[in-house]
Amino acid sequence: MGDVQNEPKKEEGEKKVLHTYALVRYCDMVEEMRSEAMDLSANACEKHSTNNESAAKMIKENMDKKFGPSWHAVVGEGYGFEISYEVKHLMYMYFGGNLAICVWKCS
Amino acid sequence: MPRSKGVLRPGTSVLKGKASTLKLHGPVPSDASRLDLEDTNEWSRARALVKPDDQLDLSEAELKEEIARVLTIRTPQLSEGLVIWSHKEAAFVPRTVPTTGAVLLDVPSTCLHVDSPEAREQAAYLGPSGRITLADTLTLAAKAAPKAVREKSRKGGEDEEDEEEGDGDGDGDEGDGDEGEQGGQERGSVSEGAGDAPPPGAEAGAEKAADAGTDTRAEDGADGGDGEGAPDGEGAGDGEDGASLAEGEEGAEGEAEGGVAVAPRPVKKVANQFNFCDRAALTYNNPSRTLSTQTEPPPRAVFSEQVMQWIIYDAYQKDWEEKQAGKEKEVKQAPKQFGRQAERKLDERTNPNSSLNRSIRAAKTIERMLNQNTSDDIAKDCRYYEDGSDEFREGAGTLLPLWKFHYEPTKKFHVTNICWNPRYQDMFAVTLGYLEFMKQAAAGAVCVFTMKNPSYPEYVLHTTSSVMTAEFHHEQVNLLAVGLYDGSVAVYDLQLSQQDPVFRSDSVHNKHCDMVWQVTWGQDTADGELNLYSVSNDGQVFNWVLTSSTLHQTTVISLVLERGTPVAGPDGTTLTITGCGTAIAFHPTNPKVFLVGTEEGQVFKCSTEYTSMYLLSYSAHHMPVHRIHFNYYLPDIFITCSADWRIKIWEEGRTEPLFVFDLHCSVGDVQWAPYSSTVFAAVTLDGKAHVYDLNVSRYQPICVQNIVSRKKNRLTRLAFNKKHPLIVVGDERGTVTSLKLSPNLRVKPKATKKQAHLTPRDLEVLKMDKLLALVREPFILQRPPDAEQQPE
Repeated sequence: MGDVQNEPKKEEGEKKVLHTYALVRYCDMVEEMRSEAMDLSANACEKHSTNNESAAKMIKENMDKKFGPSWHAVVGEGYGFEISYEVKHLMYMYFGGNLAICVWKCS
Repeated sequence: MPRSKGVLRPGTSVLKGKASTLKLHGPVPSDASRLDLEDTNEWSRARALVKPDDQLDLSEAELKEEIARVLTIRTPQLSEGLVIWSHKEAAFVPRTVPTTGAVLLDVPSTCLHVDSPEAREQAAYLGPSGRITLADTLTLAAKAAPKAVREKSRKGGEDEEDEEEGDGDGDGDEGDGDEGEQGGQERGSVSEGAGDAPPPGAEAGAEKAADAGTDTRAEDGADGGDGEGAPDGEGAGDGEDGASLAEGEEGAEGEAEGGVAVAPRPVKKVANQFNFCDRAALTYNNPSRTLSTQTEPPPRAVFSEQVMQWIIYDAYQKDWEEKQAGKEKEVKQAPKQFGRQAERKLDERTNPNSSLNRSIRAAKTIERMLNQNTSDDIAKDCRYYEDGSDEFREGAGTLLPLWKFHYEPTKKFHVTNICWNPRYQDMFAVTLGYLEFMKQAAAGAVCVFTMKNPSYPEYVLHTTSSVMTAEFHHEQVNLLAVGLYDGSVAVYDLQLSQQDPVFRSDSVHNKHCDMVWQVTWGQDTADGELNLYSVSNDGQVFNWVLTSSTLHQTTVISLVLERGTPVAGPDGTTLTITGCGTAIAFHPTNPKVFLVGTEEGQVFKCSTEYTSMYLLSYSAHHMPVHRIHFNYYLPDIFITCSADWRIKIWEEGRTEPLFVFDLHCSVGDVQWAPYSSTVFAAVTLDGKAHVYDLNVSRYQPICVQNIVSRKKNRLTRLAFNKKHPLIVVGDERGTVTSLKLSPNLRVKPKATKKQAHLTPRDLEVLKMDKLLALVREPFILQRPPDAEQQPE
């Protein structure tokens, strides 16, 4: 059984292309803020590739610094959320192929 | 009034407070009051001198009789319970009696009871022993007591006693003592000063005080023992020593020993009440008010999502696919983006003076309407008129002249090229310049006319040099590529109603060295960039790529004649002679293959892939080739025309022409008809338009018509409308004439029953193929030495 499962995986693995670029799933920010947040998130996740918590912390702190307080950031591989956010201050993106980053503001 | 009766009128003597119930006794002989008696005696002796005559002489018994008299401040005569009718209250109210007493003097005492808290405090303050010594007391007393009192006390025992009496009183209750002292003093002063007050009364008072027996005052005088003791000691002292100062002092000593300390008022220095001032002020409190507002909170929304690895993976996968698809699209969309940019630019240009633009648009509309009205018959002819006589003429047709287009400023120019817009069937561009070398002027123009408005061009583009050629892009129909006499290439965007081209090859190196004869748009590059080819008199074919802002030039081929054999110059140098390109045409199905015609009459088949080789070389004409045009239906068939009077039809790969037509005049232009595979039209310099239909006649034109006067004018160019049976021909006077082809000139092949399944296009191809089969065979089987000598 295990073998049977493994085989198709191999095939997939061969043709699978690993995408690691930042993929914005939902964003209602203005262009300037969006690019800033994207860069920041990508940087944070690259810097703290092993520690999602510190990545989230870095995102949050930098966003607070740049765009005023009460930003929230979630970085993780699997989670669910329902948040209220200030309109025009939400970005939900994937990064590195396995990370979902949600950054929003709500004060 | 007899004094013995002791009646006092109210007001003569004032006894205050509790001490007011003083009993006066008559002349009571007593040991205790011997001093008094002596005094009395002295006094009575002095008085005896003025004894009235009628004085009642009393017997001993009478004298001894005791008459009790009570001195009170109440007026006995005054009835009590007097009432008066008050009208205000409507009732009897008690009537207030004026008081019978009056305060004349009020001096506080300086004595303190030794056991009183004040005295203890004083003692603690003065002496460390905690006890007040006699000396202390005396000094204190001397200091504290008013001098007047002391002097009085020295004057007589009477007064002294009075004073002492008051003191005794004061010991009990400080407040009372003060009053008593005061009272004593006053009595003293009264007795001295007024003389009215009877001294015996005072004496009696003193005696009474000394007795301390039934004296209510002593009882009232509070602390009992102390108060009583004082008069006792005093009385003793008095009795022993008589009335003297020393005795008085002794008496005072006795007093002290008896437990009574005559303490002065506290001398503790207190701050003068006037040294400081306590002031308070209260300002108005500002009224406070509560105001509150609440701003609208920034709008919020709720967003929820779920993250799982497979979701992320899918999203990436999808996005990737879209990107791949997008890339392909982008390649196609790139030119559109350019178009969009142009539109944006257009908006920017039009917005500032939009009102002007609007009025211009309105004016244009009105102009069109007017033209439509004035040339209504022509418009109807264009649309509906079919030459009826064609039915009776077999194999011949006519051209019906419609509008003439000209633009006044460009009247002197030659029409150098005409190009229909591929999308807007009523629009064509006319390039205006000079075809003659000697006549060149530093001006040229491109006029874009529309059939709907023959009177005035829709767009006019002025240039600084003759415009030799123009072509609309096949998709971006607003882009017009233009080749100029000065060798430069420009691209205009008609949407931007501006005079400047969006692209222009105006640098020294970035252009041809000689006039550009023809430009044609190539297929877009792999990156989606627009590009165009230009052929010039300098023997170069350039490819121009429209980058974001500039035209990027590459040489496609140099038209070298007699390849590989440089011509030896007079001084030993060698020259490679290049041909002068005059016409270019791309293969309709193979976008890499193109034909270039030269001034030398050669036609080279080239490929964009090879810059140094010709695929094939046709010795087509003896004079400059004016046009090369591929057939619309058979991609291998093309037609050329030249100044050597001939039109030739070629098949690719065949160096010999299939058909040759001699028009006895320089052929300015030749074009295949878009509606038929066998029809083509040509214009000659003598002002004639020729229309051939190979299907009708392989030798004779089916229509030859003079369009312009032969003497004054020449025809230069021609163009078929892609959709309507119309041609436009240009002449050397800057005028373009539109002509309608009569029905005989556009006969369509009729499908036989066998060919019913074929499309019109297939029929056209068949028709041409049939013709070609006739001419092909002989050439393959037997090659005549002179192919051009076609039997006519």
